[in-house]
Amino acid sequence: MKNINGFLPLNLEEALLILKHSYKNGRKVRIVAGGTDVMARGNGNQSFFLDSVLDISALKEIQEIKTCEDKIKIGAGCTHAQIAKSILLKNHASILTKASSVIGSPQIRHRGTIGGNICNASPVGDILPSLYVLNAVLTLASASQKREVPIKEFIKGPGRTIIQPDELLTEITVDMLGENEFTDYRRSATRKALAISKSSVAFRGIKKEGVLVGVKIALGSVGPVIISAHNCEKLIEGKKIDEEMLAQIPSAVQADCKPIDDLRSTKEYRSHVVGVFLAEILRSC
Amino acid sequence: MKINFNINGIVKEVDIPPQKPLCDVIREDFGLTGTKIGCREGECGACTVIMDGMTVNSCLVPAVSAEGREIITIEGLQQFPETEIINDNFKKVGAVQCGYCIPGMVMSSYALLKDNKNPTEDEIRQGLSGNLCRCTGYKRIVLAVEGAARDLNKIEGGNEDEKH
Repeated sequence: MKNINGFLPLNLEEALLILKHSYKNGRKVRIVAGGTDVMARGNGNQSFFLDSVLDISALKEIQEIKTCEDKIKIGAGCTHAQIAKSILLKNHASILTKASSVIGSPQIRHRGTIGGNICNASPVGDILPSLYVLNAVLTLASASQKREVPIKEFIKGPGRTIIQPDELLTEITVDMLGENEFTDYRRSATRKALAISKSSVAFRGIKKEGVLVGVKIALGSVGPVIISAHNCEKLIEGKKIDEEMLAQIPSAVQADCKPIDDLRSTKEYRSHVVGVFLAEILRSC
Repeated sequence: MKINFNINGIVKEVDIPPQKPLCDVIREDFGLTGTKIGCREGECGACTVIMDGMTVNSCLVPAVSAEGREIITIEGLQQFPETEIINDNFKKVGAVQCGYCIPGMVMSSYALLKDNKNPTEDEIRQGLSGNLCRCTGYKRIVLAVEGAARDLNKIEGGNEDEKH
Protein backbone atom coordinates (compact mmCIF):
# COMPACT_ATOMS: atom_id res chain seq x y z
CA MET A 1 0.00 0.00 0.00
CA LYS A 2 1.29 3.42 -1.00
CA ASN A 3 2.63 5.43 1.93
CA ILE A 4 1.13 8.89 1.69
CA ASN A 5 0.29 11.79 3.98
CA GLY A 6 -3.05 11.86 5.73
CA PHE A 7 -4.83 14.92 7.12
CA LEU A 8 -7.86 15.04 9.41
CA PRO A 9 -8.55 18.75 10.02
CA LEU A 10 -11.09 19.61 12.72
CA ASN A 11 -12.17 22.95 11.25
CA LEU A 12 -12.66 24.49 7.83
CA GLU A 13 -9.87 27.05 8.15
CA GLU A 14 -7.34 24.32 8.82
CA ALA A 15 -8.62 22.29 5.86
CA LEU A 16 -8.29 25.25 3.49
CA LEU A 17 -4.74 25.95 4.70
CA ILE A 18 -3.76 22.35 4.05
CA LEU A 19 -5.10 22.70 0.49
CA LYS A 20 -3.28 26.00 0.02
CA HIS A 21 0.09 24.70 1.22
CA SER A 22 -0.18 21.47 -0.72
CA TYR A 23 -0.98 23.41 -3.88
CA LYS A 24 1.99 25.74 -3.31
CA ASN A 25 4.34 22.79 -2.79
CA GLY A 26 3.05 20.96 -5.85
CA ARG A 27 1.54 18.11 -3.84
CA LYS A 28 -1.70 16.72 -5.17
CA VAL A 29 -4.45 16.10 -2.63
CA ARG A 30 -7.31 13.61 -2.80
CA ILE A 31 -10.20 15.02 -0.78
CA VAL A 32 -12.32 12.38 0.96
CA ALA A 33 -15.72 13.19 2.43
CA GLY A 34 -17.73 9.97 2.94
CA GLY A 35 -15.32 7.84 0.92
CA THR A 36 -18.08 5.93 -0.84
CA ASP A 37 -16.76 6.84 -4.29
CA VAL A 38 -13.12 7.63 -3.51
CA MET A 39 -12.48 4.34 -1.69
CA ALA A 40 -14.35 2.26 -4.27
CA ARG A 41 -12.00 3.67 -6.92
CA GLY A 42 -8.85 3.86 -4.80
CA ASN A 43 -9.03 0.34 -3.33
CA GLY A 44 -8.11 -1.15 -6.68
CA ASN A 45 -5.84 1.67 -7.82
CA GLN A 46 -3.59 3.21 -5.17
CA SER A 47 -2.43 6.00 -7.49
CA PHE A 48 -5.95 7.43 -7.21
CA PHE A 49 -5.02 8.66 -3.71
CA LEU A 50 -2.39 11.04 -5.23
CA ASP A 51 0.23 12.46 -2.81
CA SER A 52 -2.00 12.89 0.22
CA VAL A 53 -5.48 12.27 1.53
CA LEU A 54 -7.48 15.07 3.12
CA ASP A 55 -10.36 13.73 5.16
CA ILE A 56 -13.08 16.36 5.62
CA SER A 57 -15.52 14.17 7.55
CA ALA A 58 -14.77 15.91 10.87
CA LEU A 59 -15.67 19.42 9.65
CA LYS A 60 -18.83 20.17 11.65
CA GLU A 61 -19.15 23.59 9.94
CA ILE A 62 -20.16 21.96 6.67
CA GLN A 63 -22.65 19.45 8.11
CA GLU A 64 -25.63 21.72 8.77
CA ILE A 65 -28.93 22.33 6.98
CA LYS A 66 -30.51 25.74 7.60
CA THR A 67 -32.77 28.37 6.07
CA CYS A 68 -31.52 31.75 4.92
CA GLU A 69 -34.29 34.11 3.77
CA ASP A 70 -36.10 32.29 0.95
CA LYS A 71 -33.29 29.76 0.38
CA ILE A 72 -32.04 26.62 2.08
CA LYS A 73 -28.35 26.19 2.73
CA ILE A 74 -27.03 22.64 2.89
CA GLY A 75 -23.52 21.96 4.15
CA ALA A 76 -21.50 20.02 1.57
CA GLY A 77 -20.61 17.45 4.23
CA CYS A 78 -24.23 16.48 4.94
CA THR A 79 -24.79 12.77 4.36
CA HIS A 80 -27.56 11.38 2.17
CA ALA A 81 -29.16 9.87 5.30
CA GLN A 82 -29.14 13.28 7.00
CA ILE A 83 -30.78 14.90 3.96
CA ALA A 84 -33.31 12.07 3.58
CA LYS A 85 -34.61 12.59 7.09
CA SER A 86 -34.35 16.38 7.34
CA ILE A 87 -37.76 17.81 8.28
CA LEU A 88 -36.78 21.20 6.87
CA LEU A 89 -36.02 19.69 3.47
CA LYS A 90 -39.05 17.40 3.59
CA ASN A 91 -41.26 20.48 4.03
CA HIS A 92 -39.55 22.85 1.62
CA ALA A 93 -37.53 20.84 -0.91
CA SER A 94 -39.02 17.36 -0.75
CA ILE A 95 -37.48 16.33 -4.07
CA LEU A 96 -34.08 16.29 -2.36
CA THR A 97 -35.23 14.02 0.45
CA LYS A 98 -36.81 11.72 -2.12
CA ALA A 99 -33.68 11.56 -4.28
CA SER A 100 -31.37 11.10 -1.28
CA SER A 101 -33.43 8.29 0.17
CA VAL A 102 -32.94 6.04 -2.88
CA ILE A 103 -29.16 6.42 -3.17
CA GLY A 104 -27.14 3.23 -2.72
CA SER A 105 -28.03 1.42 0.49
CA PRO A 106 -28.39 2.34 4.18
CA GLN A 107 -24.64 1.87 4.63
CA ILE A 108 -23.83 4.14 1.65
CA ARG A 109 -26.33 6.80 2.77
CA HIS A 110 -24.78 6.91 6.24
CA ARG A 111 -21.44 7.98 4.75
CA GLY A 112 -21.88 9.42 1.25
CA THR A 113 -22.29 13.20 1.11
CA ILE A 114 -24.10 15.67 -1.13
CA GLY A 115 -20.81 17.50 -1.74
CA GLY A 116 -19.14 14.28 -2.82
CA ASN A 117 -21.98 13.47 -5.21
CA ILE A 118 -21.58 16.92 -6.80
CA CYS A 119 -17.77 16.94 -7.05
CA ASN A 120 -17.81 13.43 -8.48
CA ALA A 121 -19.74 15.08 -11.35
CA SER A 122 -21.04 11.82 -12.71
CA PRO A 123 -23.86 12.04 -15.27
CA VAL A 124 -25.56 9.32 -13.20
CA GLY A 125 -25.18 11.18 -9.88
CA ASP A 126 -28.47 10.49 -8.11
CA ILE A 127 -28.87 13.83 -6.41
CA LEU A 128 -27.83 16.07 -9.31
CA PRO A 129 -31.06 16.35 -11.38
CA SER A 130 -32.94 17.54 -8.28
CA LEU A 131 -30.26 20.15 -7.60
CA TYR A 132 -30.58 21.42 -11.17
CA VAL A 133 -34.33 22.04 -10.85
CA LEU A 134 -33.80 23.70 -7.44
CA ASN A 135 -31.35 26.18 -9.05
CA ALA A 136 -28.54 25.06 -6.76
CA VAL A 137 -25.68 27.50 -6.27
CA LEU A 138 -22.41 26.13 -4.93
CA THR A 139 -20.06 27.93 -2.55
CA LEU A 140 -16.41 27.21 -3.27
CA ALA A 141 -13.97 28.34 -0.60
CA SER A 142 -10.22 28.67 -0.63
CA ALA A 143 -7.94 30.10 2.07
CA SER A 144 -8.03 33.50 0.37
CA GLN A 145 -11.52 33.80 -1.15
CA LYS A 146 -15.03 32.48 -1.57
CA ARG A 147 -17.04 32.29 -4.79
CA GLU A 148 -20.50 31.17 -5.79
CA VAL A 149 -21.21 29.17 -8.94
CA PRO A 150 -24.48 27.75 -10.31
CA ILE A 151 -24.30 23.95 -10.48
CA LYS A 152 -24.77 24.03 -14.25
CA GLU A 153 -21.59 26.05 -14.69
CA PHE A 154 -19.72 23.96 -12.13
CA ILE A 155 -20.02 20.61 -13.89
CA LYS A 156 -18.26 20.60 -17.25
CA GLY A 157 -18.30 16.95 -18.30
CA PRO A 158 -18.28 13.43 -16.88
CA GLY A 159 -16.07 13.74 -13.77
CA ARG A 160 -14.97 17.25 -14.75
CA THR A 161 -15.69 20.39 -12.72
CA ILE A 162 -14.23 23.89 -12.50
CA ILE A 163 -13.07 23.44 -8.89
CA GLN A 164 -9.47 24.59 -8.34
CA PRO A 165 -6.89 22.48 -6.46
CA ASP A 166 -6.93 24.84 -3.47
CA GLU A 167 -10.74 25.02 -3.26
CA LEU A 168 -13.31 23.10 -1.27
CA LEU A 169 -17.05 22.89 -1.94
CA THR A 170 -18.54 24.02 1.37
CA GLU A 171 -22.20 24.79 0.83
CA ILE A 172 -25.12 24.25 -1.55
CA THR A 173 -27.87 26.86 -1.67
CA VAL A 174 -31.21 25.75 -3.12
CA ASP A 175 -34.62 27.32 -3.68
CA MET A 176 -37.25 26.84 -1.02
CA LEU A 177 -40.33 25.51 -2.79
CA GLY A 178 -43.51 27.57 -2.71
CA GLU A 179 -46.72 26.07 -1.35
CA ASN A 180 -48.31 25.44 -4.74
CA GLU A 181 -45.10 24.09 -6.24
CA PHE A 182 -45.01 20.49 -7.30
CA THR A 183 -41.87 18.35 -7.62
CA ASP A 184 -41.15 14.72 -8.36
CA TYR A 185 -38.15 12.50 -8.93
CA ARG A 186 -38.04 9.10 -10.63
CA ARG A 187 -35.24 6.76 -11.60
CA SER A 188 -34.93 3.42 -13.27
CA ALA A 189 -32.27 0.92 -12.28
CA THR A 190 -31.74 -2.84 -12.37
CA ARG A 191 -32.76 -3.10 -8.73
CA LYS A 192 -33.94 -0.59 -6.17
CA ALA A 193 -30.86 -0.61 -3.95
CA LEU A 194 -27.18 -0.43 -4.85
CA ALA A 195 -27.76 0.07 -8.54
CA ILE A 196 -26.61 2.94 -10.70
CA SER A 197 -29.50 4.57 -12.52
CA LYS A 198 -30.19 3.95 -16.21
CA SER A 199 -32.08 7.21 -16.44
CA SER A 200 -33.72 9.64 -14.06
CA VAL A 201 -36.08 12.61 -14.15
CA ALA A 202 -36.41 15.56 -11.78
CA PHE A 203 -39.52 17.69 -12.29
CA ARG A 204 -40.64 21.04 -10.89
CA GLY A 205 -43.66 23.18 -11.73
CA ILE A 206 -46.38 25.38 -10.28
CA LYS A 207 -50.00 24.23 -10.57
CA LYS A 208 -52.11 27.14 -11.71
CA GLU A 209 -55.68 26.92 -13.02
CA GLY A 210 -55.30 23.40 -14.33
CA VAL A 211 -51.95 23.93 -16.06
CA LEU A 212 -48.30 23.84 -15.03
CA VAL A 213 -46.13 26.94 -15.22
CA GLY A 214 -42.49 27.60 -14.30
CA VAL A 215 -41.72 24.07 -15.47
CA LYS A 216 -38.17 22.86 -14.92
CA ILE A 217 -37.02 19.41 -15.92
CA ALA A 218 -33.57 17.86 -15.46
CA LEU A 219 -32.57 14.46 -16.79
CA GLY A 220 -29.87 12.16 -15.44
CA SER A 221 -27.90 9.38 -17.18
CA VAL A 222 -28.98 10.43 -20.68
CA GLY A 223 -25.99 12.60 -21.63
CA PRO A 224 -22.41 13.44 -20.60
CA VAL A 225 -23.78 15.80 -17.92
CA ILE A 226 -27.22 16.38 -16.39
CA ILE A 227 -29.49 17.73 -19.11
CA SER A 228 -31.93 20.62 -18.72
CA ALA A 229 -34.78 19.40 -20.90
CA HIS A 230 -35.78 22.66 -22.59
CA ASN A 231 -37.89 21.04 -25.32
CA CYS A 232 -39.93 19.11 -22.77
CA GLU A 233 -40.26 22.22 -20.60
CA LYS A 234 -41.59 24.22 -23.56
CA LEU A 235 -44.05 21.48 -24.46
CA ILE A 236 -45.55 21.38 -20.96
CA GLU A 237 -45.34 25.04 -19.91
CA GLY A 238 -48.81 26.59 -19.60
CA LYS A 239 -50.52 23.82 -21.61
CA LYS A 240 -53.44 21.66 -20.66
CA ILE A 241 -52.34 18.14 -19.72
CA ASP A 242 -54.28 15.92 -22.11
CA GLU A 243 -53.64 12.90 -24.32
CA GLU A 244 -52.64 15.11 -27.23
CA MET A 245 -49.88 16.77 -25.23
CA LEU A 246 -48.74 13.50 -23.65
CA ALA A 247 -48.41 12.00 -27.13
CA GLN A 248 -45.80 14.62 -28.01
CA ILE A 249 -43.55 13.81 -25.05
CA PRO A 250 -41.41 11.12 -26.76
CA SER A 251 -40.32 13.45 -29.56
CA ALA A 252 -39.54 16.28 -27.11
CA VAL A 253 -37.49 13.81 -25.05
CA GLN A 254 -35.64 12.70 -28.20
CA ALA A 255 -34.73 16.32 -28.92
CA ASP A 256 -33.37 16.85 -25.39
CA CYS A 257 -31.46 13.61 -24.64
CA LYS A 258 -28.07 12.45 -25.83
CA PRO A 259 -27.99 8.98 -24.33
CA ILE A 260 -25.37 6.32 -25.00
CA ASP A 261 -25.34 2.52 -25.05
CA ASP A 262 -23.30 1.05 -22.22
CA LEU A 263 -23.22 -1.95 -19.91
CA ARG A 264 -26.18 -0.66 -17.93
CA SER A 265 -28.64 0.15 -20.69
CA THR A 266 -29.26 1.17 -24.29
CA LYS A 267 -29.92 4.57 -25.89
CA GLU A 268 -33.43 3.55 -26.88
CA TYR A 269 -34.41 2.28 -23.45
CA ARG A 270 -32.99 5.32 -21.67
CA SER A 271 -34.99 7.87 -23.70
CA HIS A 272 -38.09 5.69 -23.69
CA VAL A 273 -38.09 5.48 -19.89
CA VAL A 274 -37.61 9.24 -19.55
CA GLY A 275 -40.78 9.71 -21.65
CA VAL A 276 -42.69 7.19 -19.55
CA PHE A 277 -41.60 8.89 -16.31
CA LEU A 278 -42.59 12.34 -17.57
CA ALA A 279 -46.05 11.11 -18.63
CA GLU A 280 -46.49 9.41 -15.23
CA ILE A 281 -45.49 12.56 -13.40
CA LEU A 282 -47.86 14.72 -15.45
CA ARG A 283 -50.76 12.32 -14.93
CA SER A 284 -50.12 12.26 -11.18
CA CYS A 285 -50.02 16.01 -10.60
CA MET B 1 0.10 8.05 9.86
CA LYS B 2 -0.61 7.29 13.52
CA ILE B 3 -4.34 6.72 14.01
CA ASN B 4 -6.26 5.97 17.22
CA PHE B 5 -8.91 3.33 16.88
CA ASN B 6 -11.66 2.36 19.25
CA ILE B 7 -12.92 -1.01 18.10
CA ASN B 8 -15.29 -2.88 20.42
CA GLY B 9 -14.04 -0.68 23.26
CA ILE B 10 -10.41 -1.61 22.67
CA VAL B 11 -8.38 1.55 22.10
CA LYS B 12 -5.16 1.19 20.16
CA GLU B 13 -2.86 3.42 18.13
CA VAL B 14 -1.75 1.98 14.81
CA ASP B 15 0.77 3.40 12.33
CA ILE B 16 -0.67 2.75 8.86
CA PRO B 17 -1.35 4.51 5.54
CA PRO B 18 -4.37 6.85 5.93
CA GLN B 19 -6.19 5.28 3.01
CA LYS B 20 -6.03 1.73 4.39
CA PRO B 21 -9.63 0.46 4.38
CA LEU B 22 -11.11 0.00 7.85
CA CYS B 23 -12.02 -3.62 7.02
CA ASP B 24 -8.31 -4.43 6.63
CA VAL B 25 -7.46 -2.61 9.87
CA ILE B 26 -10.10 -4.67 11.69
CA ARG B 27 -8.87 -7.96 10.27
CA GLU B 28 -5.10 -7.38 10.10
CA ASP B 29 -4.29 -4.93 12.88
CA PHE B 30 -6.95 -6.05 15.36
CA GLY B 31 -7.12 -9.73 14.34
CA LEU B 32 -10.92 -9.67 14.24
CA THR B 33 -11.86 -11.86 11.30
CA GLY B 34 -15.64 -11.92 11.81
CA THR B 35 -15.89 -8.94 9.46
CA LYS B 36 -15.84 -10.43 5.96
CA ILE B 37 -14.60 -8.88 2.76
CA GLY B 38 -16.52 -9.47 -0.44
CA CYS B 39 -16.25 -6.77 -3.06
CA ARG B 40 -14.19 -3.87 -1.66
CA GLU B 41 -16.51 -1.43 -3.39
CA GLY B 42 -19.54 -1.09 -1.13
CA GLU B 43 -21.82 -3.40 -3.10
CA CYS B 44 -22.07 -6.53 -0.95
CA GLY B 45 -22.24 -5.38 2.69
CA ALA B 46 -20.22 -8.36 4.00
CA CYS B 47 -17.88 -5.91 5.75
CA THR B 48 -20.68 -3.95 7.49
CA VAL B 49 -19.74 -2.57 10.92
CA ILE B 50 -21.36 0.03 13.14
CA MET B 51 -19.52 3.37 13.39
CA ASP B 52 -20.86 5.95 15.83
CA GLY B 53 -24.17 4.09 15.91
CA MET B 54 -24.63 3.76 12.15
CA THR B 55 -23.97 0.89 9.77
CA VAL B 56 -21.19 1.53 7.26
CA ASN B 57 -19.30 -0.51 4.68
CA SER B 58 -15.90 -0.79 6.35
CA CYS B 59 -14.21 -1.29 2.96
CA LEU B 60 -15.20 2.29 2.06
CA VAL B 61 -14.01 3.91 5.30
CA PRO B 62 -10.41 5.06 5.04
CA ALA B 63 -8.48 4.45 8.27
CA VAL B 64 -8.04 8.20 8.81
CA SER B 65 -11.85 8.65 9.04
CA ALA B 66 -12.06 6.23 11.95
CA GLU B 67 -9.93 8.39 14.28
CA GLY B 68 -11.92 9.19 17.41
CA ARG B 69 -14.97 7.18 16.40
CA GLU B 70 -16.56 4.19 18.10
CA ILE B 71 -16.59 1.08 15.97
CA ILE B 72 -18.47 -2.11 16.74
CA THR B 73 -17.79 -5.27 14.76
CA ILE B 74 -19.72 -8.54 14.80
CA GLU B 75 -17.50 -9.70 17.70
CA GLY B 76 -18.35 -6.60 19.73
CA LEU B 77 -22.03 -6.95 18.94
CA GLN B 78 -22.17 -10.21 20.90
CA GLN B 79 -22.13 -8.30 24.19
CA PHE B 80 -25.69 -7.05 23.54
CA PRO B 81 -28.64 -9.27 24.54
CA GLU B 82 -30.47 -8.36 21.30
CA THR B 83 -27.74 -10.02 19.27
CA GLU B 84 -28.33 -13.40 20.88
CA ILE B 85 -32.00 -13.15 19.95
CA ILE B 86 -31.16 -12.22 16.36
CA ASN B 87 -28.61 -15.06 16.15
CA ASP B 88 -31.11 -17.58 17.55
CA ASN B 89 -33.74 -16.56 15.02
CA PHE B 90 -31.28 -16.86 12.13
CA LYS B 91 -30.50 -20.41 13.32
CA LYS B 92 -34.11 -21.35 14.04
CA VAL B 93 -35.46 -20.61 10.55
CA GLY B 94 -32.38 -21.78 8.65
CA ALA B 95 -31.44 -18.33 7.37
CA VAL B 96 -27.78 -19.30 7.14
CA GLN B 97 -26.39 -21.32 4.27
CA CYS B 98 -22.75 -20.66 3.35
CA GLY B 99 -22.67 -18.01 6.08
CA TYR B 100 -20.34 -15.52 4.45
CA CYS B 101 -22.87 -12.67 4.39
CA ILE B 102 -24.22 -13.39 7.87
CA PRO B 103 -21.98 -11.14 10.01
CA GLY B 104 -23.02 -8.21 7.81
CA MET B 105 -26.66 -9.33 7.83
CA VAL B 106 -26.67 -9.51 11.63
CA MET B 107 -25.09 -6.04 11.88
CA SER B 108 -27.77 -4.56 9.62
CA SER B 109 -30.56 -6.48 11.39
CA TYR B 110 -29.37 -5.19 14.74
CA ALA B 111 -29.26 -1.58 13.46
CA LEU B 112 -32.69 -1.94 11.84
CA LEU B 113 -34.34 -3.33 14.99
CA LYS B 114 -32.74 -0.62 17.14
CA ASP B 115 -34.50 2.00 14.99
CA ASN B 116 -37.72 0.18 14.24
CA LYS B 117 -39.25 -2.25 16.75
CA ASN B 118 -42.01 -3.47 14.42
CA PRO B 119 -40.66 -3.42 10.88
CA THR B 120 -42.90 -4.53 8.02
CA GLU B 121 -41.52 -7.00 5.49
CA ASP B 122 -40.84 -4.07 3.17
CA GLU B 123 -38.94 -2.18 5.83
CA ILE B 124 -36.87 -5.27 6.62
CA ARG B 125 -35.99 -5.69 2.94
CA GLN B 126 -35.03 -2.01 2.74
CA GLY B 127 -33.04 -2.20 5.96
CA LEU B 128 -31.08 -5.17 4.58
CA SER B 129 -30.86 -3.84 1.02
CA GLY B 130 -27.15 -3.09 1.43
CA ASN B 131 -26.34 -6.73 2.20
CA LEU B 132 -26.21 -9.29 -0.57
CA CYS B 133 -26.79 -13.01 -0.02
CA ARG B 134 -26.23 -15.36 -2.92
CA CYS B 135 -27.54 -18.51 -1.19
CA THR B 136 -30.83 -18.01 0.57
CA GLY B 137 -32.93 -15.85 -1.72
CA TYR B 138 -33.49 -13.66 1.37
CA LYS B 139 -36.83 -15.23 2.31
CA ARG B 140 -35.55 -16.94 5.45
CA ILE B 141 -33.40 -13.99 6.41
CA VAL B 142 -36.52 -11.80 6.37
CA LEU B 143 -38.34 -14.45 8.44
CA ALA B 144 -35.47 -14.45 10.94
CA VAL B 145 -35.64 -10.68 11.39
CA GLU B 146 -39.43 -10.83 11.77
CA GLY B 147 -38.98 -13.52 14.43
CA ALA B 148 -36.30 -11.51 16.20
CA ALA B 149 -38.56 -8.44 16.27
CA ARG B 150 -41.37 -10.53 17.83
CA ASP B 151 -39.06 -12.05 20.45
CA LEU B 152 -37.51 -8.68 21.33
CA ASN B 153 -40.95 -7.14 21.76
CA LYS B 154 -42.00 -10.04 24.01
CA ILE B 155 -39.00 -9.44 26.24
CA GLU B 156 -39.57 -5.71 26.39
CA GLY B 157 -43.26 -6.23 27.08
CA GLY B 158 -42.26 -8.68 29.83
CA ASN B 159 -39.92 -6.18 31.44
CA GLU B 160 -42.64 -3.58 31.40
CA ASP B 161 -45.03 -6.00 33.10
CA GLU B 162 -42.46 -6.48 35.82
CA LYS B 163 -42.27 -2.74 36.31
CA HIS B 164 -46.03 -2.40 36.83
